[in-house]
Amino acid sequence: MKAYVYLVCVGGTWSAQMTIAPEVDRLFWMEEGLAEAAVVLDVRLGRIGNKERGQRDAVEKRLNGERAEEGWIWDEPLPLGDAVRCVELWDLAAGSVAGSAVGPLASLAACVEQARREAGAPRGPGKQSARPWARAAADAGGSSPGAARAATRAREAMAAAALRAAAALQGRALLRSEAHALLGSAAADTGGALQLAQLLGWLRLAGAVAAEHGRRRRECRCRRCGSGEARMHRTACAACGRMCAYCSACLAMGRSRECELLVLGMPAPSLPAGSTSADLHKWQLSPAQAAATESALRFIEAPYQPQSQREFLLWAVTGAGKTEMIFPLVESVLLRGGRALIATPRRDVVIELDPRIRRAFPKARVVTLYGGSEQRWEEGEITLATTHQLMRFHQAFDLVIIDELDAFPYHGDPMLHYAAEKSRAPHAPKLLLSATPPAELQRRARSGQLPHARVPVRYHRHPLPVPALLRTPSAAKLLQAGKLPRALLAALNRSLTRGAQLFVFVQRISQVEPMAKLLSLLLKQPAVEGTSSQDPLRADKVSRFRKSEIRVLVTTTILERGVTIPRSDVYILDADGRLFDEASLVQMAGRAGRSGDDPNGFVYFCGRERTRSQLSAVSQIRGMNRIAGKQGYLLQEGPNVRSFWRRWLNR
Amino acid sequence: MRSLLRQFFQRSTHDIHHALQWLSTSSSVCLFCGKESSKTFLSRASHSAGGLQAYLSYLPASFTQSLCSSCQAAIPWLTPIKCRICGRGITCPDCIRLQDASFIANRSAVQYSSEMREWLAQYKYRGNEKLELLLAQMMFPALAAITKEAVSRDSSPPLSNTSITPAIFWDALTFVPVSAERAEERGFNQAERFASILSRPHHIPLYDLLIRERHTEKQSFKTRAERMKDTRRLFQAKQETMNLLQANVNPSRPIRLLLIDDIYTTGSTIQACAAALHKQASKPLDIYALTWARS
Repeated sequence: MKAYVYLVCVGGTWSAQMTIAPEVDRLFWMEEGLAEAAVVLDVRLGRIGNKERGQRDAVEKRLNGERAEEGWIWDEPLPLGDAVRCVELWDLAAGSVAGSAVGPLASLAACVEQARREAGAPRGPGKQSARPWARAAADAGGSSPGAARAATRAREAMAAAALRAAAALQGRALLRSEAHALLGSAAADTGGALQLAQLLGWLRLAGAVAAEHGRRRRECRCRRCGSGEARMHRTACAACGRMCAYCSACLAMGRSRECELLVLGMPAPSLPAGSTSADLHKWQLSPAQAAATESALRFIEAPYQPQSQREFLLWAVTGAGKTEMIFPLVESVLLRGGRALIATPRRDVVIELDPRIRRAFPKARVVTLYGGSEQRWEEGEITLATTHQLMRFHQAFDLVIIDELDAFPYHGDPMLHYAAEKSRAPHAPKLLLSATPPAELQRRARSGQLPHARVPVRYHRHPLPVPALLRTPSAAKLLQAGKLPRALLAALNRSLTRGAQLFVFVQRISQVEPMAKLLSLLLKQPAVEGTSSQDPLRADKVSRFRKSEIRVLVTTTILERGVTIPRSDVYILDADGRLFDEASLVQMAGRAGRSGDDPNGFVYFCGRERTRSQLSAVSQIRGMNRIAGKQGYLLQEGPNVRSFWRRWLNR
Repeated sequence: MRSLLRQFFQRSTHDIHHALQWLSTSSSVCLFCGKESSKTFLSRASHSAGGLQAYLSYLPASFTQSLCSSCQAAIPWLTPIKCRICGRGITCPDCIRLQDASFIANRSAVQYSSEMREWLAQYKYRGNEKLELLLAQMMFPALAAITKEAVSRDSSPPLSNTSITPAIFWDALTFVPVSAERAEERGFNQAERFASILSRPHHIPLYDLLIRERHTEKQSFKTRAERMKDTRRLFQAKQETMNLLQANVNPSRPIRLLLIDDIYTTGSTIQACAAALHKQASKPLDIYALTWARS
């Protein structure tokens, strides 16, 4: 889109502004009524000061009742990015303009020209002219008192609409069309409401893709997803008449481009610190859960210091009951009047979490966001979202919880990390949850740079099943030969006999179906199914698996996390394969023994060789069990009996 | 100690092996599905029918290389056709109803299947302009087909039937315009982009001949009758550009004009554009249409 730039002179000082709705600005500066209506609301909002100094001074003077002596609007609308840059350039040069011999209009022309040049626009001036704004004649409204009253009411309505827009957009980062969708019919003239709100410093308007500060103008960055020049794609744009960059990284969330408006709402105001003495008992946490939760609570309730570390790692083994542990933390934020965010990379996990959160906080407004969610524009005290949705937020939350932070696609995607960081209010703590934190986080935790708490034991207080390593040919070989090694077949049969549900993980989607057929044949078991990310019936099969209608489920890493089956054993074929790293192996192993009724599930890593991933996964699991024992979290069962049976079974 | 070292060495060679595996896989990503495509492209020869093979030989090589084999297999090419007027794969009632058509015939590259709908939406509504070239290239075989059709209908003597290329035959390409609001919202006019991509390699001059008068609701929300009524008087030809075109063409025969659009549904848009062109032209025009999809 295009925008205008203009100059106003208030109290003898010139300032430059950008506008997407020039008539609103003219009313504000040159006439009586609009600024007067806004000042009442502005006091209520108490927010002016979010603007550059030069612009702020002028707006403050206007709100104090001084009308502009003069106003000049640049005739030609400029591509949005140019208009924003032009005002920036004016502010940079503000000191020199005041004393310079060239008039303010000539300096504005220079700014426009420089902005155009920086953007690489073709040379040759457009219409190099500005036109003055008329100051309303004294009798403009005075002709009839009725008309004057109507005009006053209209201006009050405009100010009120701007306030509503600013309130609704707090903490948001939305493209123009999204802002329009969110505001809906809240304002008759949405553009005008946005413009007035930005004039008053209640929100910010900028190009969605913009040059990086201090860099050459042509190197752009997406302000919504943080992607840099490498993800920019430039095309001729009919909206601004230029070659205009768009961001191909976040295209699926609506197109962010140089001349597209990004509306940034104001950040969430800071939260009172201090304990709310949340009652931990009511959440019925195990001792290990309670200990970790308490230290996390202390962290998030500590008074905010600008330089302090705002990240906390909650490293809880699979099946530790992470969700229950975040309830007290969310409650602490709600009690202090804040907004909490629980984000996770996977849509399935969001949908599964939704009813649990609503049950735990029946009185809170819960908003669940994912691609295709119906609550897209709603606002709640608790927001549950996929990490992709965080792109639409800007400093909105007083507590950010990232669950399963090592899962695809969040792990290793700088765009999603940027989005998560941006969604956090400056004072807000960020809580990272994982059973298998990436090596970098583990290192920072160990070296003391990252505050953290470990939950080394499951909520049922039994140790994690330790995987057994089984030497087998590759899955491809097994399928080719049409048979399984005796040891593996025996183990599978033992699992079935003891009444367990079997997860069988393979590396490739193409192996899922053949392996399911082979197992069904060899185990003489009809209730064998296969599923993968490409299976439209996945949810259905998982629920049938949960109901024991399916006994053996052959699958890929798609089910490595988030699925809880009460009595289950886990077989990982090609455990030496490259798609199964340490985290993945620990997660898959974590599907076994999750319920208190059957805490000792069995896990087998089957493969041709022992890889580092397998050995580290086993030692990570052993390590957690050891810590749990040392800290006295394990129930006193006979560990020797257990290992005796394991040895006996693995003979 | 030695065994430890050996173990370490074994593990690291294992990792290197894996790293090499990663590096050796080709990293060409299919522009449509985003998946890494293997090097085994469906060669054009492996298509079943010989007719299709000949038809698809007009696709540029860069097209087949930017697409994975399963996406290529998903394209419902519109050949052979049954209706010589609108280019459908079935005999059609619309063309019987359509009387006094201002255009002679249409050809479309593909059937508007749900996959094709998704592809076009990716480009047109999501704004993934990286797909633009590929979508336009999909129209190359249909351009050959409509050229053949037009040649067979053409009555003017000087063309010998054997060596007629689109460059020799067509006098001009033009495209269905979008309204200013839509251009501002979308940032581009897909028909114009398609036309410009078709124009360059085939050496057919591109003329910006039409303007869209008023902004209508999106066509997809309307019935056939409503569309017909609505699109009348929607377009106007630009007199100056029309004069330029007429001055550039051999006056002894009608001007051969090919009109480009993305979707052909009832033909009302093409019809309205063609009517507007005839109205503004002082010479006879032979107007054909080439569209990306036939719905």
